[in-house]
Amino acid sequence: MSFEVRIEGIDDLLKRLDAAGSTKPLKDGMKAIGTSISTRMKVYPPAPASSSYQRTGNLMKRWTSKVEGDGSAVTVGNNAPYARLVQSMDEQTWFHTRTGWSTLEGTLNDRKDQIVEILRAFLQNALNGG
Amino acid sequence: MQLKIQTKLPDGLKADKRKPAEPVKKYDELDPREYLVLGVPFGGPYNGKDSDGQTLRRTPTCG
Repeated sequence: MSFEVRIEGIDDLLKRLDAAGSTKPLKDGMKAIGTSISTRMKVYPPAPASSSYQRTGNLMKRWTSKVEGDGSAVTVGNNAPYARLVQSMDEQTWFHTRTGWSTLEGTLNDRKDQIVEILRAFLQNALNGG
Repeated sequence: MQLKIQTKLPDGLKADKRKPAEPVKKYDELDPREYLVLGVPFGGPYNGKDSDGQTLRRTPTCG
């Protein structure tokens, strides 16, 4: 399953970045966004009080992010085969919904503004000579 | 399971398509240069200076 989100409202900064001659700040910003999302996704909800299951931490370790070569996108994902049953909005089981597992899509929707601000901050900082 | 976050790059974005600046010649290929010497210090007859109070003599280039 894949889900795409577009970042809008930074065209002016991107054009100025092009004039400055480097897209490294864009790549760095995308990397920071990927890290921010995957870090949030690694947070487990509290274990149910009645559960005796010993958590392995495997799901947490399988989060990855990768920035496209031109810096235009970052892909965040989990390569555990069962990840979708736990943290995908469309495929999450009722049990994991009830026990409070956050979903990737939900996390992204909650953080849309923050994502734009992260990218804007990286671009603005670079254009200001920082 | 994966999710892509992307932004549309402006049309004709060329920042990363530019060829990086390269020196015309490598350091080892540079020709030896003659340095223009502006003056040579000398000891004049008046406490090490000439009659104008100068201590440098103008001189042509030396290699």
